[in-house]
Amino acid sequence: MIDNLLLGLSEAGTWMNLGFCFIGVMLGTVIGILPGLGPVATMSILLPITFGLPAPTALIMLAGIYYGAQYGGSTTAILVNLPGEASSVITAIDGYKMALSGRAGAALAIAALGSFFAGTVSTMLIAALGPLLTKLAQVFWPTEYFSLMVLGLVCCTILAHGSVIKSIGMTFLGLALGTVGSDVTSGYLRFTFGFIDLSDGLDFVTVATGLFGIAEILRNLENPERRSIVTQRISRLWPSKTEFAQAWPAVVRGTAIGSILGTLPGGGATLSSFASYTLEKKLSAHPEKFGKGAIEGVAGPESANNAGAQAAFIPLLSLGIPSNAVMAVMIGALMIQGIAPGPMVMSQQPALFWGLIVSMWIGNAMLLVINLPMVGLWVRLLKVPYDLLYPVVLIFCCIGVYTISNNTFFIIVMACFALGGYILLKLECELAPLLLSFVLSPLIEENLRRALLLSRGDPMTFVTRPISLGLLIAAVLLLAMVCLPYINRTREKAFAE
Amino acid sequence: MKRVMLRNPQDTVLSVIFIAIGLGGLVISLGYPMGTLLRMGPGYFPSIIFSGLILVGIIVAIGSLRFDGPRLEAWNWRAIIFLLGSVLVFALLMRPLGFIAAIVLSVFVSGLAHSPFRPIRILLLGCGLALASALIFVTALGLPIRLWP
Repeated sequence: MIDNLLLGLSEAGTWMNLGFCFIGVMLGTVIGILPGLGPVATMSILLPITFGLPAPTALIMLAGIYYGAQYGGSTTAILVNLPGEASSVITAIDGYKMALSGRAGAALAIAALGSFFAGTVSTMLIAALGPLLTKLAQVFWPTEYFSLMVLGLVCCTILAHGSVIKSIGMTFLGLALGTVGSDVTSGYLRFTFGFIDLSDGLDFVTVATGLFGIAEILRNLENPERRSIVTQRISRLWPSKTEFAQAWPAVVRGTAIGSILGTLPGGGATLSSFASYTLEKKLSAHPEKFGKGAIEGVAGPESANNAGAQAAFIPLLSLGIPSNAVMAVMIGALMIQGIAPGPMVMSQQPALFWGLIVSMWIGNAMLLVINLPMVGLWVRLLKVPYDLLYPVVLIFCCIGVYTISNNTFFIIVMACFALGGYILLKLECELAPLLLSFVLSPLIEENLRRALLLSRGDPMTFVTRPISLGLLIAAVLLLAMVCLPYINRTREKAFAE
Repeated sequence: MKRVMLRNPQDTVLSVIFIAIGLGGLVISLGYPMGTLLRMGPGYFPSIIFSGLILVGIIVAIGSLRFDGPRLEAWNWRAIIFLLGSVLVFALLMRPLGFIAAIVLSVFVSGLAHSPFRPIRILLLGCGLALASALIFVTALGLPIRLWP
């Protein structure tokens, strides 16, 4: 393990990689602070640009954007009560209350230090667990891959906000979109409607920028801006001794929760922070202080979301399966570089794998330095008016899509997805399950076909192989868990009439 | 008074979308070679997916007829028209007019989506953005894009 980490250090420690890591975390912080521009859109826009970079450098920068956004998101959550990212919604509850009572500095410092601690631990965890999981991956047949991806989709579906049935619909829609283009096995053209440009399928960047970049702008233009920045000067940045004493157990627990939940398919930063907040409130001797500026309510979730963000790389790097929309972008980046995601990455590209892991730790250290002393500068970013911001995002989306194919056709496709995404947002549908299932669709189909070929056309193979059976049972149980209350509730409603 | 019948217009519309896409997709994929369970043809997997979509659509439809839900929100037509319009402007003009002009024009059109519309401000933004993008994407990253007509 030490050798591996040293190899990673030599890869991540080159000036070029350090530089792009820095660019990544800076960009991540900025978009984390700016509301209405998330890591998925940013990473997708930058994806075509990474084509010209060496593979490790590209991945290091993209990963930096992801965890940098977690930091940036918590800064605005605390100071402005405006969570830049979904994963910092929880932080806003107690963090903003702390800021209102003049403890903004302490909240920011605890959030940053907790995140750093969590980042360090989960880096170690990936380093330790990664090789083990790769061994597990060797006993994985297409059968198990299929079942695992089904479980991943189920997790992502039930974790989405709002109605479960709508999210299931989004998942099917994504799977359907993933079948556009020529069929891998037979080369048969499907759903191309005569457009030759579609024969390679819908491009990931096109779909992601349309849904997450432009549809978001349409949505944001409806809501007039309302921002109330805490204008008091941040006097004391360092938390007091009592605050430290209160915070550190929460940091440790948050890290543990995030590391576990992050590795689950469909898990990641958002789920981890919610779980940690609930736990802290349950364990606390003064649960009534939560929601009124309890430092544990900042420390726990902030550590958890960072640990979760990094642990989400474990299934990606060891099994090649993205566990959330951001990881789906990373898959796209790997494919652009001509690297097939999967267990082979670790053995065939050890420098890439370990370099990425070590860079996450370095990036976390950079974020600590970037964030704490420069908080005032970041807050000023919030004053950028939206009417100057959205045309920039729009143009970058167009350029990003154009550069991936040198073809203006896909810009028009992106506009269609923007409109579609806006309609779905209007109908209160969650777009993340759609994007994830869109990416997984070709993999699911291929593994389904291969599994059935291996079993000579016997569909029972999915339940007779133990690991596959276990995964499918987990998927069914999870679905039942969320669907039962739904059915009960509808029944209650029906009886109430 | 047909509108009163819809207890949950949002979900009704969504279910219509699901079922329409599902039916359309199913009809098309049934036209592709099916194959067998052992050797699936290109039509097999999509048929399953679109059937699933239809099923979800039916469930949403039943739910929307039985329970009250939120009404449809008003659409921001101005944003839709000008924002998507500006994307089209960029897509259609960048080949004939070049990168710089396409960006300036496209930013200008996108500015119309915001109220109040400030022409001078948006024009300056467009010029600045065109310059910056040319420097970043063409000069620094060396992407093969033509800057001028």
